[in-house]
Amino acid sequence: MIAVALGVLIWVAVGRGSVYYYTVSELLAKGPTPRVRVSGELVEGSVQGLGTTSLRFVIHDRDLPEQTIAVAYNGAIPDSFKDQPDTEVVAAGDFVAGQSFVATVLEAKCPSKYEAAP
Amino acid sequence: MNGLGYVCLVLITPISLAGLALALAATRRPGLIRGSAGAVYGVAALAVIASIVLMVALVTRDFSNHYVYSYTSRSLSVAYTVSAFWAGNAGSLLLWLLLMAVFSVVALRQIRREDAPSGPYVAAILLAITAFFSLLTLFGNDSNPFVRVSGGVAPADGLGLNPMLQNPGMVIHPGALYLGYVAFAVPFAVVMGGLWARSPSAAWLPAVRRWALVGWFFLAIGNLVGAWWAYVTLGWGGYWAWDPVENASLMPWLTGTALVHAVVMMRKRQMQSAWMVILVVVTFLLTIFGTFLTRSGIATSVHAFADNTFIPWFTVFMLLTVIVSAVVIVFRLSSVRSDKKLDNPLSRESAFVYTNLILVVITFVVLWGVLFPVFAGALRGAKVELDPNFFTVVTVPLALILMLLTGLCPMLPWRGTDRSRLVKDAAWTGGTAVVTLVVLVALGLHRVYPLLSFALAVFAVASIALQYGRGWRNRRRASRTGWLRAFGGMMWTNRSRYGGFLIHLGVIVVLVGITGSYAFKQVVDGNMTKGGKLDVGRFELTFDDLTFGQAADKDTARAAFTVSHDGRVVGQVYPVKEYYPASDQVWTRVDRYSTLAGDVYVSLLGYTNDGAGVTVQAELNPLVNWLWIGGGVMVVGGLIAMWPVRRSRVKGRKVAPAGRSQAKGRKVAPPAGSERPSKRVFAETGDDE
Repeated sequence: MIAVALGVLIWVAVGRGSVYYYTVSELLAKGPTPRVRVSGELVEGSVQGLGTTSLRFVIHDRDLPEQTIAVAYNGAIPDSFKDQPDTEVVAAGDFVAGQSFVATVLEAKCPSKYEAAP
Repeated sequence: MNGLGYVCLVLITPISLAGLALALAATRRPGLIRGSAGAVYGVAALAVIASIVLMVALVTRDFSNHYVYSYTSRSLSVAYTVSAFWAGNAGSLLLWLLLMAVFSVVALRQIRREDAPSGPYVAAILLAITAFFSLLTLFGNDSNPFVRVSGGVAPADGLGLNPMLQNPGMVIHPGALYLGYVAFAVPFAVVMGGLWARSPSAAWLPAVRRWALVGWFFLAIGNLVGAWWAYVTLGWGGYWAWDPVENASLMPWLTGTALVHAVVMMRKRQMQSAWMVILVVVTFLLTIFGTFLTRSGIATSVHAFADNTFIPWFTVFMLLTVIVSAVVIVFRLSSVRSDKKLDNPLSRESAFVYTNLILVVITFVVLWGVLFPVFAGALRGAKVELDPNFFTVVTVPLALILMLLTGLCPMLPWRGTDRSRLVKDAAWTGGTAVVTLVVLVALGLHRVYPLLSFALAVFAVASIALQYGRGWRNRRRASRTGWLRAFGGMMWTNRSRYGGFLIHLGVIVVLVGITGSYAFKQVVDGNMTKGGKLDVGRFELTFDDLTFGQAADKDTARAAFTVSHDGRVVGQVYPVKEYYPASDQVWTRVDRYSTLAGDVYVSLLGYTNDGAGVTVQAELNPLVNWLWIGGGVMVVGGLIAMWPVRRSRVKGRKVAPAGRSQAKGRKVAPPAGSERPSKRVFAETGDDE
């Protein structure tokens, strides 16, 4: 009985907690999807609103630069987010129709000599 | 100097392997144990020398050493230069090795005194673990701290330490975690050695208890300080993100907690011996897994698993551990198993079993959360991640059950026989919980989980208070001393009991802090000009000023806000945005207006170049400081519970409480040729008065 209860609990939790993870071109092929994560690289010169709580930018895959997704994010911008073309961005949120992504969580990785904390 | 460190590191592997061979031979010819012990001492000496060499290189800023060059700079203060020892992969591996070597010396001395027959086995296992980590430092990628910079010419300055790691929390956090991780290697060696040598469990259980408590204690400090560091420096307002690195250090702490309870069961009731043995193995495996996950590169992204050079090493080592443990358990476990059964669901024993079950279930869920993305990726071809929702959906109800058990357990009698008190106690403590529930509902709180959490917290605190009150009163009557002396006497003579209750109290307070800051968090953000106001719950922020500054290594913008509460000015906060040109890094340093009721947590997100306008985010984190206060209570309770008793100071036998017969088992195997009783024993878990 305990095992069954645990199984149900985990099953429910996996349902509520799983988030699919796509690249820009994969997500474009899939179309509008709620609750997803998308990763891509910043398109040079696309960043607007740095230093505010309302950020707009465009990302693409390195090998498919013509396919792009515009991302809108409201909230605190992570310190690692920089307006540099090689910045790798992961956005979590909803991909809505019309190639725009409404992000609620934003992570950015810059090529850096610093290691993550041990 | 650098060369000396390198040589020491290289020598550790063959010496520990030679010691391992001698230890295995000593199981047939006991005299050889001296040679093996010599290897343990030798390895410790080498690890100490290598560590001193690295420390000297760090402090003297020898930038010809690649590690020193990578993690320090001339402008770094001495304290953080020292902490750079464990800021990177290579240095932290050396720290692991150093702790392992020193703990091995202490543990082997203890076990040769308390349970000599298992000495060779324990030495063999400890040396095997040491050999594994020394191999890692030699063959792992970027894991030797004595490599020279390319070209061999010392650069003028180093790269410096990540500014986020320049925080007192980051000096303590990794060190405490490593102490905890490594300490759990000792119970593993002791239990495996004891079983292998067929020693009676009473001979080696004291050592298991001692080291499990040490490991538990340091993992608790490491996790708490890590959470505090994340809260005060990372600026996202939280302290726990359920990311793989955090989970890695949470899991062995959870199983370690279960282990400490299983040891009590085994010592007092000769039950849960199989549980105890398996928990020792699982906790050890989880510390290795944690060390593996934490190695840089793996943890930042779960998807980077496949690229890491450590994978084969850790896989082989963990597999070997599983095989050796399985063989020992299969052939030897029967020697410690008892046929006692749980016959009463409302007994102290049952409460222990439920507690351990839930702790193990939580661990399993967290492990599932860590590994799920890896398996899901392999099975479904798609990349799937589990966000914090997954963890909270499962852990919150389980944590509530743990709170219930924490309150219930001390009231339940052993064996469930004497229930005369149970009904009365439960009515009293349950009553306080019901009153809390009614009051909170009347005050307008209608959310189920927070209501349950607060009510169960009051229930558990009432139950613990009942135990303290009863013990205190009895002590005062028996000793005829003042209240204060009686309280001190009660705590001191029954350290593991009352220290343990103090830990429980701390855990409850921590859970109250988590409930408040998680369930009632408020976040607002906005643009403000000078004199502008922003409401955060019942607090209000007024933007006063923005000042720009320049230091040797950074440019800063510092905003000043006045904090008022219900219209009354209560304080000021100064969030800062820093820019480090050398590393092209930005750091948003939050500031807090902190009270016991909660924090107003303010971060400066942006500003106009003339300093007239700012963009801020402000959070209200109710009760968050009780998390750190409860953590402090846990640490104090842990210290009391594990403080050793010096036998020489205990006058004669009459002081020893009744019912210690199992603990005397340590005398079953006195060290050969020595009549001297063990100098230090640990406080026994006292029975009910």
